[in-house]
Amino acid sequence: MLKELDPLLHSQLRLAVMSVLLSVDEAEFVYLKEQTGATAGNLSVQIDKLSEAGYIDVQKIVYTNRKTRTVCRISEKGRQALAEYVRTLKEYLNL
Amino acid sequence: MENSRNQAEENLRVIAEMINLTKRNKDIDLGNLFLLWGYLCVLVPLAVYAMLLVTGNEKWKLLYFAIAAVGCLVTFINRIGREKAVTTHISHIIEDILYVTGTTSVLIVIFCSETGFQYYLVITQLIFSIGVRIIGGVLEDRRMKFISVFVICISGIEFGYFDFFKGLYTNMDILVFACSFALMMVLPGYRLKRQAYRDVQLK
Repeated sequence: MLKELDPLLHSQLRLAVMSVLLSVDEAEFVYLKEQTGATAGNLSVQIDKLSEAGYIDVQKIVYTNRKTRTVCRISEKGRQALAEYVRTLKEYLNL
Repeated sequence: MENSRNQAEENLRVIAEMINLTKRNKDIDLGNLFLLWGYLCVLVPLAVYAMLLVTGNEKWKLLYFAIAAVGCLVTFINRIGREKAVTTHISHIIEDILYVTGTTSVLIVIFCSETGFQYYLVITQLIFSIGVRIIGGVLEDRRMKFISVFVICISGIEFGYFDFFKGLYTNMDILVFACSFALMMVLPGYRLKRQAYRDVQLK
């Protein structure tokens, strides 16, 4: 019996975000938007979902000129979830 | 069933693609950093060399400070638009190494221009080659390690036989400095970028 795939990571945009964050210490919202090609609104929603699940840590820095900078980092829980997800995918595809 | 399988394959492809793309961008950023500082350290000394040859006025050596000024300015302007989009542990280490070697070199040039000590180019070359050797170790880049060790040896010999070196040809130390940076930074800069493009077959 195959394990169920994590529904939170099964969305391609959320998976793309997690994959980018896996190979860096931290990445800005703008960078994630460039890399994934998503719209700001959609990306923002998906980042909130990942953050609520504890898969990523999001830090919003507000500057004095009202500009904000959003920085995302993958958490240990997220790292484990992604590793588990890839393992399940490989089992699923008999790789 | 077939749909789920396709989706699973597609998702694996997304993971691999994102990881490769991020790696490529990191390598390109690093390549650009090497090219910026490398070209400055080659072109400015060559300009100084040419002006010394034409005018014979030693004040042209003040142009060396343009390396730090232009380099910092370009780096700053680049960051205004993008802030610091992505950081990795390796990029932190490399920036730290370049920051320490760069700051030390500027201090040495300031100190030497005050005291009239002539070895500043050799010392700067030596400091940077040690920095590049460490970066080569961090990146596990054998060619970078080899070239930097070669420049360390050249710098050591130049330091030991400075008068002989200087006597070989007018302002020989400037030419050696420019060649060392072309080898240590410009060539690896292009190689890092070429490799990054090749890795993901985007060129």
